[in-house]
Amino acid sequence: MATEITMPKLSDTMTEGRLISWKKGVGEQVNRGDIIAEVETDKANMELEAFTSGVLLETRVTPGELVPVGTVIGIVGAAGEAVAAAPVAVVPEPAVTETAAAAETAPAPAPEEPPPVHLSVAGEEAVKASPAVRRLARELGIDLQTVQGTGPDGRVLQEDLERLGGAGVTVAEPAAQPAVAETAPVAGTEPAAPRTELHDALPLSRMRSAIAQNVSTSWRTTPHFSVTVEIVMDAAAEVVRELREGGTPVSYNDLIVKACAMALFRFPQLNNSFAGDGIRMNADVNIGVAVGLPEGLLIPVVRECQRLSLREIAAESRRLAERARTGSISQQEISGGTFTISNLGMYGVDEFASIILPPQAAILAVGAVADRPVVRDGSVVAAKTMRATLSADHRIVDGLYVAQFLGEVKRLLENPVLMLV
Amino acid sequence: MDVSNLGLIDFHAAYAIQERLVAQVASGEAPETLLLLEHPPVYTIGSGGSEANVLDPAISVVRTNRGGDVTWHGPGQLVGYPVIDLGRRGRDLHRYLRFLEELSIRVAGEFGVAARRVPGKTGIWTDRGKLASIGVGVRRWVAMHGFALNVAPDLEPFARINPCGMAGCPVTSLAREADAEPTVAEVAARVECLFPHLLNELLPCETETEGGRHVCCRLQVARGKAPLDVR
Repeated sequence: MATEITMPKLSDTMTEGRLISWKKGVGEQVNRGDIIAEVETDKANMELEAFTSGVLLETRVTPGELVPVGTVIGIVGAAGEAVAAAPVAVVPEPAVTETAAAAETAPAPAPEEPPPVHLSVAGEEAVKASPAVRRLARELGIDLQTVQGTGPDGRVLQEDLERLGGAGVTVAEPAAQPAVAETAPVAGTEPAAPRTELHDALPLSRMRSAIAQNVSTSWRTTPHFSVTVEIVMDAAAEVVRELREGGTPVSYNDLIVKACAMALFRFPQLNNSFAGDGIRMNADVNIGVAVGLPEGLLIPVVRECQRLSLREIAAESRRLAERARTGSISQQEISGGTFTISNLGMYGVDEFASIILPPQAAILAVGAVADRPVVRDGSVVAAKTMRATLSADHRIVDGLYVAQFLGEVKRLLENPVLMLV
Repeated sequence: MDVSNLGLIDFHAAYAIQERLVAQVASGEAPETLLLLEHPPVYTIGSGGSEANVLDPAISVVRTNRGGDVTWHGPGQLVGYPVIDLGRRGRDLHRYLRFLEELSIRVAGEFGVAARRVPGKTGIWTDRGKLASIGVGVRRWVAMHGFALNVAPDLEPFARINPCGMAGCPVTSLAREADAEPTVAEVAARVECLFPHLLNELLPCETETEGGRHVCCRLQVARGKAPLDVR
């Protein structure tokens, strides 16, 4: 019976791992205990041992690929054994070649892809097994509840796991196939065999997958609240126009970055990070500026904004945005941010709220600068205004602090000369 | 556990010692061992590292089975290769990396240098750059390779690579950060003293019995103390 090799969970905090290399080739004999592959998490590499003997039938992940824990990376089985079709999972670029012929002759029924299994604590407790066996099960991605233990009182032994070898046993119930028939009208007259459409879930791109993971973590773990201010931008518009005419290309967004940098200096809590049982103080103000791309979102970071002039911020911000758009940006240039600004003003958005990028404390969502009615000296007049909404982590700051911070940002943008001196 | 100071030793020679120790620790023939040493100048790269981070084509680089990208080792840098049985210490690679960071931070602190972690960039850092690099390899849950703490090395060789795969990554040393200039021997002495205690504090050794777990290490310090900053 074919055994799936999965990306092991090598740390409580590991969610994905990178396959570094295969130590065995497809078709090669594998003996129990052989090193079959090398995987990396953070700055640690682990040599993966085979828990069963057989032949490496298939590799589903190529060296360099980053995949979620629990992803099937390869299959070991008897020589000549047919392999179940590789399913569409969250794995980027799933291998779908050479699987079509498998169905007819497959001796082993093809279980649907078990999703990466996260053992429920309650369920785990109900099963008798030693800590070592529990850990082995976790590494193999086996749900202990589905294992028939052969030890005293049904205790699960290491041999039980090895016998199962992680193949398919994690499927608690046959994965319910989403009804795809409605979208695929059947034209034929004969009652066709049930069609299994493998296209109902598109694999995520790496960027999409990274974004999905970040925002989910943030939304689940960060208590967000948001506060909006309206800022009169007439003076800022004047400054932008004058600087541009003087040959210095500066955007509203550059002014906003500068204003935030100065305000963060006075309200440093919003530049700090929540770190479990404490708050991490960040000495530098590193502001990420979200850049929308057809395939997703990148957030290049303008470093040490507290030391940069408006002109320098503008130049750096432009350089980074260009590198983000051309795909030449480095990992370093998109990491280490302590605060983020997302600006949808150029798309005519009035106002919106963003999701905080962990472990940062806040993100500023900026709308369009537009002519809006304001009341001045008792009369309604038109002025250029902009709405900015700060989403903040309530574990770090409270409403009053955010209001004061936004008040400072507003004061700076309404008196932009303060940012030029 | 044992601590063994190998002095100045070639990378390949030290690697052979590590390999032998890993096998012996895995089979229970040898105790866990911390190797402390300096290498003659050598560039090494982790198995997943990119050659593109070697900027000078004249450099030859040794590829080895650790995590991380390219780095430089040489005289004036204290290298620590702990051969540790993580199989008995919680089987958590990230936690082990955080332990190596904690060790380096505390040792730097003893020389008056305030170093810190930077989330997502394993190693330890000061305002002026990277003070210690970390890269680990694990075989049958026994760890090899480890950390490299810049005591007073020539920092110029780092300019010819993207250290740890980061372009323009600044690198610093205790000598640059501290008022006094410590020697590798002085720093090694502090590591030797601190390592076993911190290891048992942060990654307590356990055995499995029918009754559950019990702690087997004599050096065990109160458990649950000083939670490790695990992200």
